[in-house]
Amino acid sequence: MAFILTLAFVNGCATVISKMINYRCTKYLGTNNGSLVNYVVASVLSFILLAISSKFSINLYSFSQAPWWAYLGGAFGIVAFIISMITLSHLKVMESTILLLTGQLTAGILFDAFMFHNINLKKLLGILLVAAGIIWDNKISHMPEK
Amino acid sequence: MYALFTLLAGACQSAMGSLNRMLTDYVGMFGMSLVVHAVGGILLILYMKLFVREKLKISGMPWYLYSAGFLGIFLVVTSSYCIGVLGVSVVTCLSVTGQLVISAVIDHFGWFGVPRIPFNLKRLPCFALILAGLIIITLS
Repeated sequence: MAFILTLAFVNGCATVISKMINYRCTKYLGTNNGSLVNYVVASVLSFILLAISSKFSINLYSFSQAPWWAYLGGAFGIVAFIISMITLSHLKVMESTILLLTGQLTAGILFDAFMFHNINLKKLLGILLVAAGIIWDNKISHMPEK
Repeated sequence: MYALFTLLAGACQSAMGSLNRMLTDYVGMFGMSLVVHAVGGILLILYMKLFVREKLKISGMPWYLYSAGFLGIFLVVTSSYCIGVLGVSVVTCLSVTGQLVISAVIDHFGWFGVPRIPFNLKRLPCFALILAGLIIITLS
């Protein structure tokens, strides 16, 4: 359990590092191409890892077994990316961070409740406390210095 | 209007996490990562060609910046794995906390050449509140 909790935390740390690298990519190639690099390299690397991990006999049947909507994850990711690119210049950083988090958590709680059935009142309370702490921290961090 | 769309973008990220989790059950983590990045990449190319009419270009960066792709795989694989055990909302809480903590550390020490911003002690109560929430989640 401690391992999974740490891994989810490390996932957040890696997100920041990845955003910093991506930001530098966009300095060379522009916003869209800078992100496209990430997708191209990750696709090629994933294919190589898939080939090696399946001992060079990729099970295509398993790909046909998955329901079509399970393939939409990447599409939702791109929609999120394009929306945040467009809206970022029209909102304050603090506003957009809080809005993204609120959307993420609201949808997350709904998915947990109706798809994964693993939510309870205590967990909900914890999630709300974390969200309050993050939003509060955002307000303090973005307060103008006096 | 922009606010509403930003909320929607957040919801899309959670949807992506849930769907990736389900796809992993069928095709494994590397298969999932391949599908997610290939689908995302193709849609991004379509968006660039049809809507913004931008030229595609992925060469001409220092070699180490290409490691972003490696991190991309790490991110989808670990989040899908954790979501399977903890659920989407809890993973979001932990991941965003990780983002806050590492950002504070990077700013404080000025790592990776960012301007040094010493840690603001006023933020401590917020971190305490987050920690309290995470403890409640762990105990539930």
